[in-house]
Amino acid sequence: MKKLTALLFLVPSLSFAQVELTTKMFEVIEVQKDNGKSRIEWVNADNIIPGDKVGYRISFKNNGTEPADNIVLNNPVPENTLYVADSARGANTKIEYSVNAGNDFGQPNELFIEKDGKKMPANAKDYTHVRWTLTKALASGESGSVQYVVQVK
Amino acid sequence: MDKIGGMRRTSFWACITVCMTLLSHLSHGLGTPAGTLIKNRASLDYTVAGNTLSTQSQEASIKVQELINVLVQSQDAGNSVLVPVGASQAALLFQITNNGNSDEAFALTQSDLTGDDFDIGVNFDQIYIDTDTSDGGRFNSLVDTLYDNASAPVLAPDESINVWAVSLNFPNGLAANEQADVQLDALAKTFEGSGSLPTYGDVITDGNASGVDAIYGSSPSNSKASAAFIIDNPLISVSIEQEILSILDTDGGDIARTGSEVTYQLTVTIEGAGGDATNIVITDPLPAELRLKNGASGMITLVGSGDYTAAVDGDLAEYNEVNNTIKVALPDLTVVTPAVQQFIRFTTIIQ
Repeated sequence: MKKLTALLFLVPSLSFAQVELTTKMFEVIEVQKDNGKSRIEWVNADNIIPGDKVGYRISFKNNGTEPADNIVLNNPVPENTLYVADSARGANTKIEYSVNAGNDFGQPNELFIEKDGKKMPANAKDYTHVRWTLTKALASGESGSVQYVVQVK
Repeated sequence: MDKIGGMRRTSFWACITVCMTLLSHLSHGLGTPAGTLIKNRASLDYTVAGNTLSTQSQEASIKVQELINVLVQSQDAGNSVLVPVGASQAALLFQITNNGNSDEAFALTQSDLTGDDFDIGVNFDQIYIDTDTSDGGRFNSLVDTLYDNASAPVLAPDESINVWAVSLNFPNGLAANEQADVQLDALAKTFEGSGSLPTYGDVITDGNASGVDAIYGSSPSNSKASAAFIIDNPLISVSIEQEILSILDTDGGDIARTGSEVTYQLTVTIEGAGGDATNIVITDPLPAELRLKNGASGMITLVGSGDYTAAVDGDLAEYNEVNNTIKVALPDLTVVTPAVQQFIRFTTIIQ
């Protein structure tokens, strides 16, 4: 009887663990076409060396039966890389950045660093974290993705 | 497969552009060391039916590969050194910098370039590492270290060495300002055995650094540098002798007295081992008791070139009546060993 009670409590909690998160990475290159125009391509990330750009695409999917709300996706900028300015994307999200290890987040013009005892506006290379806040709930079965680019130091 | 070859679906021009894009990326100095794992894991917070939940993505990681990148630069002022005619030895100084992200040694070679005045050819000597810091920037084969390709020094990322590219036995027949252009090439040892010269983007599986591939990132212009040996202007000396050619007094005799005409000759001797003597100006202030015959209307002769009016009119010779001075600008001369001479003649009146 005790075993059955435990199982009954487990069923609803299993239904809560429903949003799946997956990170994929790519090498980001610029390719010029025959017409003289260029385009950015995300290709398999092999043979990454200093100076290369790496793109991260983070996908999420609600595998549960209930809608997921108040979704906040947080990604630290990997060590040995620098965030590439204006590279973060995400439909129906509010994108914010941190320059203090994720303690505070804000828009680029709200971020400052201290250098040589002086408060200075932060730039993209100072970002330590990128955060996406979804502006609407994720319905059951619904999915989405965000992305950003870093450059290997 | 090479890194560029991985883009086979793109057009030729697309590949060219990829190369150029990579080129700008690879022009860095010290970078993330080869073999470093770049790890990334995202997290997600959300609520379901009022319950706060969290989840994480899997860890995405990628290993930084080995970047082979070298920069060769001439260290001589003006990318050249002056060499005396007949010098038995001279050396050009180059700097080799490892701009890759892993330890690397480089095979060095020196060679002649075309389009210059003479070649070093068989007179190329060894390459030496400039290890002597007390020699005032000069090559010294007794204290600098012979470069040995078999045991080439391993440079850490961002580390540099200076090397001397030495040549011997400059021939005597060379004229001043003739030059020999010499190129120094640095080939990463990791790619030395690949059979052909590596090109940008080439990959060697499991290169020098353990567990990662080596990717050739040196641009053609960075892996070599050129500098020139220029034959120095030989030492040229100029000497002047003055002699009286004739004296003509007012009675038709040859007595030096007031009113007598005294004709002088200046012999200008230019000695050297060859080369051009240019911009030589002879100035002869006359003593107060002498004045040039006919003053500014007089004549000054440069033997072999002609007679020139003494007026200040832009020709080769002139007489300044105020300073009582003869001035002659010699034409450009090619000095033939052992010397060339020029003769200046003019006539004065004893006051």
